[in-house]
Amino acid sequence: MLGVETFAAPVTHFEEIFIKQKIIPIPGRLDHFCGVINYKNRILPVINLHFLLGLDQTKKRDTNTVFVTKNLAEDVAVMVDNLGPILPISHDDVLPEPVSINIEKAKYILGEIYHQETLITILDLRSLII
Amino acid sequence: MKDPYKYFKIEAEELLENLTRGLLDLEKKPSDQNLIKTLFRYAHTIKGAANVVKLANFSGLAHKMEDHLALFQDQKKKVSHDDITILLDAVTMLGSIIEAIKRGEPENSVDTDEMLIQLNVNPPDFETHECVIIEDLSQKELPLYENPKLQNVTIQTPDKNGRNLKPEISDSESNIRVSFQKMDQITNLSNEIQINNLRLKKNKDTLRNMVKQAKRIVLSHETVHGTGIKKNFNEFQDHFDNIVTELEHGFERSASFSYEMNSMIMDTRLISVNSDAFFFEKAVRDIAVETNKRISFEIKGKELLLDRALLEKIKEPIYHLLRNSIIHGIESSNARKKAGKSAAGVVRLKFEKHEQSVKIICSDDGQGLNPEKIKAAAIKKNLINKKQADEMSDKKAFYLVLMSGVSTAEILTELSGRGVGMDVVKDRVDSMDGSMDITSKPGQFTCFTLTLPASVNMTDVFMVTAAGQHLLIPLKNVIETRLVDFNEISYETGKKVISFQGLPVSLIPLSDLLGITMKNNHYEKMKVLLVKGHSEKMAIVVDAFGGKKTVLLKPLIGSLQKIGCARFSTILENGDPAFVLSVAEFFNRIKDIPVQSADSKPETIQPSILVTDDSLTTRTLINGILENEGYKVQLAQSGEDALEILARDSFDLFLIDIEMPGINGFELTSKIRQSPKDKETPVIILSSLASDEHKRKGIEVGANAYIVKGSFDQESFLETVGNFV
Repeated sequence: MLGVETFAAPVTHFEEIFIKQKIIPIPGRLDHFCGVINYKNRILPVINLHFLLGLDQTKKRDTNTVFVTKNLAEDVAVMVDNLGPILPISHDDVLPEPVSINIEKAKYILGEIYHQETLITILDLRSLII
Repeated sequence: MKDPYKYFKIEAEELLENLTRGLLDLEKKPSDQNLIKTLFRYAHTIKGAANVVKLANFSGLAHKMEDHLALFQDQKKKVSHDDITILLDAVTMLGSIIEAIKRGEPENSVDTDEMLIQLNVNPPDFETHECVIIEDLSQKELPLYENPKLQNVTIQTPDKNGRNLKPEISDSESNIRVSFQKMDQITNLSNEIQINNLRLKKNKDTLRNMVKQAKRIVLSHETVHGTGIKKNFNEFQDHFDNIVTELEHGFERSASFSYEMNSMIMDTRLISVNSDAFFFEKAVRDIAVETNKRISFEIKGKELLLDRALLEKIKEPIYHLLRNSIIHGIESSNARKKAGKSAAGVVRLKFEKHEQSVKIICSDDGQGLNPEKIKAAAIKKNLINKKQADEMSDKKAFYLVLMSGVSTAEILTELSGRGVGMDVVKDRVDSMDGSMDITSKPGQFTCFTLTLPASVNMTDVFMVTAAGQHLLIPLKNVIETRLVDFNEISYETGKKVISFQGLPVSLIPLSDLLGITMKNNHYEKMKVLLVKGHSEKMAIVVDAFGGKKTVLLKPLIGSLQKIGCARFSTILENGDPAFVLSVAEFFNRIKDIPVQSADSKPETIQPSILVTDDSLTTRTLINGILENEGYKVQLAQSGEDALEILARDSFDLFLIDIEMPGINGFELTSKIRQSPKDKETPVIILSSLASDEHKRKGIEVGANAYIVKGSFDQESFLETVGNFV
């Protein structure tokens, strides 16, 4: 969840999920990163999805879940408000991303799916690696 | 998928290195029959190896090299300079085939036909005989390229009688080959243990102190709980002390073992400069051949042992330096003769190892750097303007050659002159957290000195705090820490400076360099860190000093490499990540070019403002505010004064007071509006007259904004100014 919107990403890209990891800011004005974390003695950038997707920045206390990715060009951490359950979906149910979406944001999105009357945007985590 | 060439590539690269080294030696000792035999053996071995893995073109070329070398055996033919050139070219081509294979391309993607023709000599009689042997070898040796346990065998090649065909273990002390990546992982882990030990050592006294503190608390309650508690506590403390002593001994033993292990690992990483010397010798030879110059090349410090990673990383920059020395530095034979120099140009490469650093000095006795030519090239590339060039010292001008696009070469050649190369050197040195010094004397010499940290993993840093973040600055860049009083700050063309050893040094808050917000303390003395870059100094304001630390450097992963101000990261004792900042990048950020002084930003970037006010206080106040924001300010104390200035200069904005003796602000504005040159320039009236009537009149005469001094607010003032420039 990011604010009021729900997003999903292929489970094959999830390495680990944890709550309230200490995030160290990166010097400089780099809005697409929340900072860095020490993940098993490796320093990983924490991606600011709110910024990349053009969503309103949630209050800090609402954003407390971080997941680390795998099977991407490089491992990164991603900060979200919270994570829901694993949903099995069929490729046939995935709708293309709406045409109205702006090009900048479209590159992060694989498509959309309706699940129990909720619209879920499917993220392309590969595109987060800058 | 299994790589059929895995072991072939390893062996072939080693043999090609040996061949290059040997051929360079052969040029110096052309009649050394043992050396010729050895080279023949290398060519033969590599040919056999290529046959095994069915690389026909590779094998064919190696075979021709073998034939060529055979001509020199028993002095059938004298080794000539051209022979060495052809053979070295053939080795380079074999290297290209290996590179192609690494990229997954077929070996015939490298065209060997021309090289085969060049190497075509009358083959000696024993050629057929040797070929038969090779065929046999190819079948027998097949397992060598499949069996990783046999990685460190040396193929004993057949002598003329075909003996010694079997591979033998090269050394009775069996060795294993470890990938450099794995070696790096081992080093990192070992360094982590070292850093962790430092942390444990720092905290090991804490336990004893805590018990002492507990004892004091207990004793203070003795009267309440009776004397029994003291006895009980003493027993507890004895027991506790014994355990702590045991722990301390255990820790000290572990620390000692891990220190020893770390030292051994670091030693394992060391290789002699000599092992790479051939690379530089070949580079110099190749360029000399290409440019038709006679070069006497000398390497000093070959015996030194350096970290393999460092040597690997510095190869390319040294290559560029040598290339520049020969192409731009060393003059033609005629010019040298005229200058009374020896016919052969002297190029020297010297390695020096110091406690914490490695120095690499590359010098030549050529024509030296010409500061005027360099400046002209930089002006042409719009890297500096004429004024900056005029003010620039020769020494600073030398550093312009490190910038992309600056080349003083009159003719562009394949080899050099495109102004790339030196910027590669600078980038690599910066990325290795090193520094560079350039000295030169026209007509006499040029000398580049690279200073690099001896360890590529561990470094000493100085910790500072800014905006609540712990940030690390390489200790080698830190000159001193200082508490600076506000009255020690002066201004030089709009920039804050403090004095260091009698010279002004730019004073910049770390927040400005990094784009972070620091606390603003107007009451205390400022905490300032004086740092040095390649050739300049800077004073950085921080929130707090944290002291010296030894840290393990972790390279930044892909996404983070785009953070310009940090080169490395590390994990602090408390587990938090921290960034090691690049001082070189600080200098890049405060100016357009590394050699430019902070106060000479190109005029076009700074909007110019003419402030006209009869009050000294107002003029000084406004000047300070605007200059701090980077504006170029000129002051006029009256309307007449302003008109005089306007007759010769143009501005981007006018700030005008109304009540002035002589020509008042309304009249001045009106005159500006009538001037063809200045009529479009915005005018802001800054006056203590707050009535609507005055404001209306101001607008009527052509002012674009009206600010009342009585309600002066710096932020909104700057915003208004910003709207017009």
